[in-house]
Amino acid sequence: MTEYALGIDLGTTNSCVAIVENGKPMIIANKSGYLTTPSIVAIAESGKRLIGQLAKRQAITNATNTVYSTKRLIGRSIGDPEVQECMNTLPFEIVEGPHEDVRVKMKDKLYSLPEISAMILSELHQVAEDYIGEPINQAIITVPAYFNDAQRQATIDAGKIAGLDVMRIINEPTAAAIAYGTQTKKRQTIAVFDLGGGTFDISILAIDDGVFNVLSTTGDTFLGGEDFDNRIIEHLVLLFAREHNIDLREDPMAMQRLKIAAEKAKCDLSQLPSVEINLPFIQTSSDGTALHLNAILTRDEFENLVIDLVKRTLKICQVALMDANVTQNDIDEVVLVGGMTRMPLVQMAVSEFFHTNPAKNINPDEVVAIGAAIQADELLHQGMQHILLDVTPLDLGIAVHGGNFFVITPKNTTIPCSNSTVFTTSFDNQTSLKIVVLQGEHTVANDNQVLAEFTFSGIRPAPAGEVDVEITFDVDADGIVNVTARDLETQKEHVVSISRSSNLTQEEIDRMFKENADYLASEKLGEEARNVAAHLKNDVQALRTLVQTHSLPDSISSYVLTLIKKATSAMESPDDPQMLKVLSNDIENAIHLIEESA
Amino acid sequence: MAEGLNVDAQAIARRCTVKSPDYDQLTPLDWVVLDFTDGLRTFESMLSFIPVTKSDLAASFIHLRLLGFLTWNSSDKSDVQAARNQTANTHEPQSSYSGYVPSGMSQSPRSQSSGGISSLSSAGVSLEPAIGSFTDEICFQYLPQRLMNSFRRFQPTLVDSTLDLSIEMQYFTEYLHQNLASLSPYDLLGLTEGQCTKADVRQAYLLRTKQFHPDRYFRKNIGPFAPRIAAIFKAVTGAFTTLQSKLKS
Repeated sequence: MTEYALGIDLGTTNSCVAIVENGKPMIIANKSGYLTTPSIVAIAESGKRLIGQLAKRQAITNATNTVYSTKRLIGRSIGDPEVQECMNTLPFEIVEGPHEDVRVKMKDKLYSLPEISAMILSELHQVAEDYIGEPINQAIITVPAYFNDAQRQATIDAGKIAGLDVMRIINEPTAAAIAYGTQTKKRQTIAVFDLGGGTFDISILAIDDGVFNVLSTTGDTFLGGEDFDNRIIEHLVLLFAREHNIDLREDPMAMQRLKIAAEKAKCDLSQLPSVEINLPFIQTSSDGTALHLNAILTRDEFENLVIDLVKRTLKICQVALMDANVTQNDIDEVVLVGGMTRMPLVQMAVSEFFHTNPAKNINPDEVVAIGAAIQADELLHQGMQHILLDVTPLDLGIAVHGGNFFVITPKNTTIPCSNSTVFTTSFDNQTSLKIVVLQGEHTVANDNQVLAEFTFSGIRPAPAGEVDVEITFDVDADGIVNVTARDLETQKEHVVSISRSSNLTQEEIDRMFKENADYLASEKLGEEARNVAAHLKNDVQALRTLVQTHSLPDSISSYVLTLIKKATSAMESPDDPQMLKVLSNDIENAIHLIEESA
Repeated sequence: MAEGLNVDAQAIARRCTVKSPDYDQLTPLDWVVLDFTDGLRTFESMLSFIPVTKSDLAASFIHLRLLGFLTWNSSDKSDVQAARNQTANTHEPQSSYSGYVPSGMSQSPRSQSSGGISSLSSAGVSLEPAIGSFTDEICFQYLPQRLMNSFRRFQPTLVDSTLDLSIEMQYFTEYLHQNLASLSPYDLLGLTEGQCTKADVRQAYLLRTKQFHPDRYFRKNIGPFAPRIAAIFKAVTGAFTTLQSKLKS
């Protein structure tokens, strides 16, 4: 039996699943027939879980129970300024969880962010299994290169909750490079420019003889298509406020409609020179008359609204080139990833910056999932046609005396890697050392993200500077960090696996996994019951006709009538497929009997 | 696809007449191994009637390989050749043994057999399980000449033929890992100081990447070799980074 593994692009706005079948990578269409699934989750009035296009369609009428853009929040703590900003702009409720983490509320129930991602993953997982027709458990999930340790860990947790065996977390630009690189044999240096729904990543890679060597990677986790949408929304809100003196931002339903209209306008402007935005009955004025929003947006106007965002991406590209120690002229090809790269202004800016036209024949929405699927297949079957040499996206180190950030593993170090530095005590008779593990790019310790804090104790009392403690950072191929402190005198060791200090505890993950699995099982059972019920309905109808057209003995006709009554009441709430099957069997027997005796 | 070892009859014959210094290096165990090599016996079955430890036997196999008395009878010979050709552009094979093994000469050992050597010539000890092909074959070539002697004398302790890792890679991995501290960046990449360009360094690093990147053994049962392979990869990456910046200036 062929083993399969999934490649999943878990995006901010859209997700996508791919698989390698008979050596060919392909995207699997979802239940609605689309190749990408909006990363939107909702709980309907009935308590049913809605995902993707279904969730998106009802987002306007069910704004507070529909969550999206959760990738912006995953792996962050509640105090994070970005989370605070999301609390102001997103229509659903964001609250603090038990570990200072972020939870979202739908239908009075709190969900952790890995749970939300797990719902999307489960949906994609199911779609793939239905397509292949056998269980698939292994998957590679992609994350933006710029994701830090906590965000990667939260993504792995999401996979676990969805019941997936996450083989590896790989970076989106690297995945795109694999998908591109398998089409070419040449030795070349490429840039992967990924402007997605919520994040921007740029990576410079050297592809040589099957080895994908990431030279540098950088990006901005808060720059993406949604910022472009927001510029349009702000523009429209301002127009409306000028005209009617009403602030639409206070109405979540109006904002949802604006959001959808803005996204559509943005996409249309990639093809058309201007679009008309019509939102009738968007608001009622104080005197009770209905107000409509009518506006025309030209491509030029739109480009003016967002030109600074595009310039920001180019500045980041410049940094990536410098980190990789190459110049624009060394770049042989630019691979564009993410729906935003369809915008003519973005394409023009990129070609001008890199002095080369972007690679053709690449679908920016699908290339990441395709690359992940290729890599998953490689790992599974040990083809090892290519090997990935990825890098750490951020500086890793510890806080040292004076509040400074001491870097132990600099950014853009090839992983897996291991770096160590020897530290010494700073006071006389110091017996313990507080170690604060940081990730970030600021020289002041406090400005970076704290990955873990631990105390290394049992140091021999001695004058300051006499005892040496070696601190080692190990980063594995997933980008997950382990820190070891060792007393060089006694060889005593303290190992801290950062991965275990992530937001969710193992118990929580297990519980969430069970809840998700139970929900999916009951959904499946319900679906089966509905199918059987539909079948039963036909049988009952057939039996009714028979009873009416045949004159039957009283004993038989009373039995048949009870049977019909039982079946009718069972069909009112079809939840037990087993009972329905028994009934259906009885009815079919009865039909058979009557037909034979007639 | 069983891989096996063949006795290189011509090489032995040549050394029986022309006294080769390598000939003196054969240990009594090496002779025993050659005696029992009959083309059918596996590594495990040999172990059952030669009263030595697994690691001694493995060491003997490797020595015979290095001296050119045994060659692979691999069904993937074409891969080996391709890999050789690919790397030949930038590197001359550096090990002495490769000179005794002209390509393709071990394809039909039976027809070459004659006289007293015939019992040795029908070789084909199967060394299973073995994964990969070409990197195992050429790993020895990427050891600098000055280390060859210590490599030949090395006695492995970890050899376990039940792992998903060829005996050769096990031997090579244990050797490198045990000597990590004393190997220079050049040694790690199999280069000689002052005789390589920046491109050579890059080429050598790509090869080492294919040998030692942990992904190559993803979820394979390689037992105690997993942490060693990871450590070697990290050291090799460090060596590459060092040499890249050194050769730039």
